[in-house]
Amino acid sequence: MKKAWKMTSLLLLVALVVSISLAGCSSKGSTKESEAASSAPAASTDAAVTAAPNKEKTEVNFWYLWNGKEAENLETLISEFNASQDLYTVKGLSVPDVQKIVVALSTGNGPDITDNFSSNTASYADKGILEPLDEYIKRDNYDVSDFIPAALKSGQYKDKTYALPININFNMMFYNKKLFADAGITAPPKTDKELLDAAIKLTQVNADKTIKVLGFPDFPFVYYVNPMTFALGGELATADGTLTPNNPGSIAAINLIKSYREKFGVDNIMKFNSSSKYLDATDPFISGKQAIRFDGPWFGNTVKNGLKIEGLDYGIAPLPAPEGKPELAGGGEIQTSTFFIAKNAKNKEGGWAFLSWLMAKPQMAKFNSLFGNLPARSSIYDDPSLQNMPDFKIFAEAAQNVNLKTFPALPAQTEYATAFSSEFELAANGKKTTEEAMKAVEEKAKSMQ
Amino acid sequence: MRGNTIKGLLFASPWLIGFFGLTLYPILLSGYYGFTKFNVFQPPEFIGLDNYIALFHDDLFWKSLRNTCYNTLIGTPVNLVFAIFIATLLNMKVRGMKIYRTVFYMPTIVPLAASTLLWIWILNGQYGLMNMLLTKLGLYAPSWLGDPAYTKPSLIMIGVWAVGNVIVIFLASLQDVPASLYESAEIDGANFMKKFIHITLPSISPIILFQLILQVINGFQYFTQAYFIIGSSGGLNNNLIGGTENSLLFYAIYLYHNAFLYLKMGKASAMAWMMFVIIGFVTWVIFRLSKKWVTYGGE
Repeated sequence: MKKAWKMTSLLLLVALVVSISLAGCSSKGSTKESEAASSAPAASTDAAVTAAPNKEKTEVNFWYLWNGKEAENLETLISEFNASQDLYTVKGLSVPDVQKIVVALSTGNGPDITDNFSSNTASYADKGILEPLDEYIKRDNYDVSDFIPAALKSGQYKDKTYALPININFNMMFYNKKLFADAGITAPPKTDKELLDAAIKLTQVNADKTIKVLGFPDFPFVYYVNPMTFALGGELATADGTLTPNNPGSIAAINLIKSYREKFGVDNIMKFNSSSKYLDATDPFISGKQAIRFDGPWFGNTVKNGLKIEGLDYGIAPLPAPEGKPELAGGGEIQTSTFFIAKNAKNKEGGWAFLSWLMAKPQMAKFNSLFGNLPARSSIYDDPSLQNMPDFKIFAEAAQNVNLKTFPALPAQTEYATAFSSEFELAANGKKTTEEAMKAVEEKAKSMQ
Repeated sequence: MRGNTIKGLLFASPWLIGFFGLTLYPILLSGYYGFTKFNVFQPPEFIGLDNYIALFHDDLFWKSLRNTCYNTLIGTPVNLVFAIFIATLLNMKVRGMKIYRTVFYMPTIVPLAASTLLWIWILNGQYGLMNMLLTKLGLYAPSWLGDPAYTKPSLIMIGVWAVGNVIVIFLASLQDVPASLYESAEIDGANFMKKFIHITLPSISPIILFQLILQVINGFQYFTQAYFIIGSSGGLNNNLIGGTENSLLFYAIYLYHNAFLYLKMGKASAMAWMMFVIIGFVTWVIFRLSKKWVTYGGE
């Protein structure tokens, strides 16, 4: 009898523990249902026309993913906006966690306006999270003609504009001039073959075969995968949205890094990479232990103005092109940071007022000069405030290259990118052959379209 | 009598409302979502068993289940043996025992995030304390959190470090073992090991069962430490969501990605229910087997 009682109480305890943790997962899910209904009534466009100057300022909630120094920069712009007009008060909040924003948006208690990466535009638009902006643009005669076409496209899905890009970014090849001189290399590599040859010369190993100086742009690995695939002419999807992971560009990009990793030992490279943290005290490019690095336009600004590091002497060149195909030189993948208004926003007009102000030429120039990025409007590239930014001129010139491509807007983009990266990694580490890995992505991609 | 029933229910109502409204209802709803295509923003669309069928064809699902089983099946016994061992030591009559007990409990009160960040530094492949020691001893110094062969053992190690609360409960149960049993065993000439195997272990076996079940459940729901380690190794807008070669892609982490990264709440709910069934089954097996080795003092 006593035993049975003990058994029951133990069983009850187990049920309780499991149910508490299950509830932790599912209660988040349940609150969302009410929202689905409340978000259905779409934008009432005529409410906008009546937006006469009120005595009371209405509040606009603006959440952003940036934090630290960059959040301070953004707050500077917000207070400028609040002082510039007497209709709205924008309240900024740093929420550096996409998931948190998504959950808040789903309950209807999210921000009116927020930012994201262009890779999520299609997914969010497809789920009805984003307010279409075309009506606002038309109504206000808002000028978007000078946006770089690829950038503007990154905020569009199925011929509608859902988000506006504030910057564009893409990776270029940074190289440590001293390490190049020491290795007797006079010019940065221009092709994939030259890259591998140079990387092998530049690599220095310790007595126990571990890596002392990494010659190849192997770290951060995620900065190699897509950029190099694009630079080698790879197209991960066709214009009509068919996913094509198994293409010559991705195969060439994998085989290149694989050759390098095999030469110096996958485990040695892995140890080097996993010991390093990007833009940190252990960042090997900053400490002179990485000869070649793929990185974005913010790198110079972060190193010089953010981390205040002096004396890192580096050069910048386009990503290498495939051997024998010089016409593909200067390629890569363009991404943008976008801003959007939530479909269930409480103050859409306020959101648009702030969004259109922030995207106007003077503010966009100021934003990018503070963040060290390239503006999405081509007409402001000669703005004086941008000229002193580290590496600006090189990136601005490279941005003109027609070989820079954007990823076609697809709802499954995030999932596809994840599948591609993980199989890419398996192949680069020699756990699968290149062909097997890309076939596996192809197989997975079928269920994503 | 009737008045009393109503009063009773009223007094219990905070719990009743909490349980039915905030626990049971969401749980049942998640069961329904498991049969739908649901992206959180649009109304769910019923698709029958498609989510479950898709999971069976999803290699990352199997990978995450394998990773989770690995950590649970190896981590749980390691934790328990270590905890019993330390508790036995802490049960001895030595000077300064209070200090030792405090020391072993201390890791438990460090917040998980903080202790994980600390371990990330200790286990750093090139600059970490651990590899500095191993290199000095002339031993192989792996990249603990980078090499897929070492990432999971590293997590088990981090887990063992923080079993203070398990130790405390074992310690309490050890102190509950009647001294008379030991005395009579000593008269019969039993040595330390014999006493430990024939008196101590059977006496604390209900507590071992209790801890075993808790550890298994926690093991299957493993999330926080791995999530931090994955985040720290990238720290970027990262497409590699499961650590090197997905070696840290645990079940709960993959569930979380499906729910909040891909916004596939239907698939995530299906995964949650699969986990529920798995945990239920494993617990049932443990109970069945426990009849053979758990002894209760009352019998």
